[in-house]
Amino acid sequence: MTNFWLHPSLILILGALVLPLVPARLKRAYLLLIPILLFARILTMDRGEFGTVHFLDWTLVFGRVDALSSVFGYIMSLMCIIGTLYGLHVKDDAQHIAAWFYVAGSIGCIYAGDFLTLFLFWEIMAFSSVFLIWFRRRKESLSAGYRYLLVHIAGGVVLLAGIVLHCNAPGHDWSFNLMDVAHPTPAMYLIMIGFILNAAVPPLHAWLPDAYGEATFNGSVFMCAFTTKTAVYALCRGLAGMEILVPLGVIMALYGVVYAVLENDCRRLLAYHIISQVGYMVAGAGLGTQMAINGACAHAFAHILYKGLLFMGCGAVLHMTGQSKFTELGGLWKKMPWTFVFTLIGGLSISAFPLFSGFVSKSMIVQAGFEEHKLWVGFLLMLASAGTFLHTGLKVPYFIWFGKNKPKQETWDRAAEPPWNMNVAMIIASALCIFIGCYTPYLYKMLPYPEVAGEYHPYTAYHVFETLQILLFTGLGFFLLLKKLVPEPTISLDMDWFYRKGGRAFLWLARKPIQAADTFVGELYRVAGLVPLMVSARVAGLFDNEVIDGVVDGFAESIRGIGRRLRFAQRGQMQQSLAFAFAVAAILIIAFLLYTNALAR
Amino acid sequence: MKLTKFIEFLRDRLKTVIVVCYAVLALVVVLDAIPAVVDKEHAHTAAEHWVGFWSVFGFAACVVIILVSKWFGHLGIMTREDYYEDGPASALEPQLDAAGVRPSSGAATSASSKASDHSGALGRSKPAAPGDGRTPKGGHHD
Repeated sequence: MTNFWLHPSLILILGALVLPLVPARLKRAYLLLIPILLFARILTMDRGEFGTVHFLDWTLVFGRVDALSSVFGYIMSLMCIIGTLYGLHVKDDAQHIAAWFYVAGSIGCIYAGDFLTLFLFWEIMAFSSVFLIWFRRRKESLSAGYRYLLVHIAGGVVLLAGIVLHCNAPGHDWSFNLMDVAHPTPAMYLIMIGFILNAAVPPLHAWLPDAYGEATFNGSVFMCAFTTKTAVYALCRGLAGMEILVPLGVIMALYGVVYAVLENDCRRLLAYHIISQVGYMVAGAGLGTQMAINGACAHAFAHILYKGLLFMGCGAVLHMTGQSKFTELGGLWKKMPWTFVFTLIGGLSISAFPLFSGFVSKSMIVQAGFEEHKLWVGFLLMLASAGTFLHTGLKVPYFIWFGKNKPKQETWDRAAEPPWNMNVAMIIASALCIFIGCYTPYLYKMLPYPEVAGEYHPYTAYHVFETLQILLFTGLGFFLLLKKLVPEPTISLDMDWFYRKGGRAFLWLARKPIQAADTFVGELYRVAGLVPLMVSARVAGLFDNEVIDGVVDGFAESIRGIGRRLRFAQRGQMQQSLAFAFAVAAILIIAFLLYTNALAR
Repeated sequence: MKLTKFIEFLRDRLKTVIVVCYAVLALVVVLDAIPAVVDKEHAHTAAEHWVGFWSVFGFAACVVIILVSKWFGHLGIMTREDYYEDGPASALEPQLDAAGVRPSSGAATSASSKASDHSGALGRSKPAAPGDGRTPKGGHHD
């Protein structure tokens, strides 16, 4: 028995680095092999703490395998297989590399046993996922990607600040465990802000629809699964039972529903429903009882599958027709009937229809709310679930595959069933959604508190009839008010207004060499393909450096390196903001080093 | 394809489908009212014992969500699709350049607001001088 412990993320990272060298005829097999190896590795891992590295004063724990991390690791590696299969026909190696690095970051966070490791992988996640947006190679994707990066860097800085303050307080060390949520300190609030930014809790949520609506057709399939759910994991792990998360979660659940009514782009609508669904999980983490944590994990598990399925369905429509707006689609049932069926299964799962996955997971959180005698939590979450069915179960399928709207002739001509690999990925996800809904022990045995889950029975007559009544009468309301719901070709202003318009006002004041900037941006679009490739290679190289040469040095280097690259690629506003963020990060790191040195003496 | 035929089959009998749906709705409410079928022992509040409580809740939730959201959206949240694209000032720049109103050096940038005022006048005056050979075609596009 050696001390070597194969980190699951390492499989993906090495696999991603080797990918460009794989001959073309073996590529598809290789693309499937690596995620399957990852899944196998996660299935065979023993429980315990592994991968402990002593570095300066810190003990880094790369592998904490327990019930909570196992359930998240399981579903994320499974989703990696499904997502890779879905994008199997994509010829662009860089897209697969970015996706795998992203998943590796996410899985690294899940198994991280200390805050530094968590932060390292947290940042890898942000920096690799942005390429999934840029690779769509539209003019809008470039700016959406930068906005995404900007928000996540800001969130990362807040998280780092919180971590440094928290871990240097007397009586604390760097291990990432449940914090003293009954007595929150400012440091804990900073950590919480870092977490809930990734969980897309309003008002820190606008990056999500902005980015997920703009990513590539398969990039969104990955993105919808990992960032927010890693944040849910972090909340369950570190801040379970923090009171403030309950109202935040409930607000989230309703906020997403309201914006989903207004949305005209199907993928942005789904993105708003991620916010809504993650609201349940955040509320569950905030309730913090065993039942609620079970519910949050179960719902995250189910959510990754059905949301992936929904994004796959709408991604297939986008991939085949080039359209994702309801006003440009309609009547597609003749052309893409199977995609319709899969999307409908996803819609029924997210709506918590009996026999589908959402039914057995969402209800645990609602139940936990009622059990804690927080009736308002229970009823408001019920209200949100009516909204979920209204949009994802009814509006999305109706206005894409039926509806009165006729798409343009060229859209209609292009529409057809997607390639086989996309269909197979959707079949697998659909089958799992139904399987989880029908055979509850499969999911319940994996939860952190299996004995509590074992006593919970979702299929009571009361619960089934309660759900059926809510959902079916919501359906009645939908068809009666159909005229009100006809999509309008608009966009909705959200919190991103502040940094999109506010930044622009600043830019307008600060701008002097207009001509130069104009030319430069033109040039930038031309090289948009090249720069992301170079940065991805750099990020890949950096990962090794960071692990070997030391974590803190690595942070400074990666932040500085990417900052340098961004500086060339940006106009005033973003550059200023980024420079500010980097400066804050640098000051924090220096302060932290001085502080620990002082302590050592 | 069989699935397409099936959907077509249902669409041809839309009236029947709707009647069946209403029947299912009624059936659910009726079954909910029979204590032997649905045991309301575990209800959390008294209101849940009312017959069809969740039906009313579901329907009301749906109506409230749609109406409130649409009301909210029309307060100004929903806006034109190109809202975030470059504003009128910067959209004018290529036109100004093409029309040669602005000197190519950066000297005039401080007066850019003035320049955009000029362009309004210019835009109107242009069609009046169709014979002007210098008016570039590109001056109007975008």
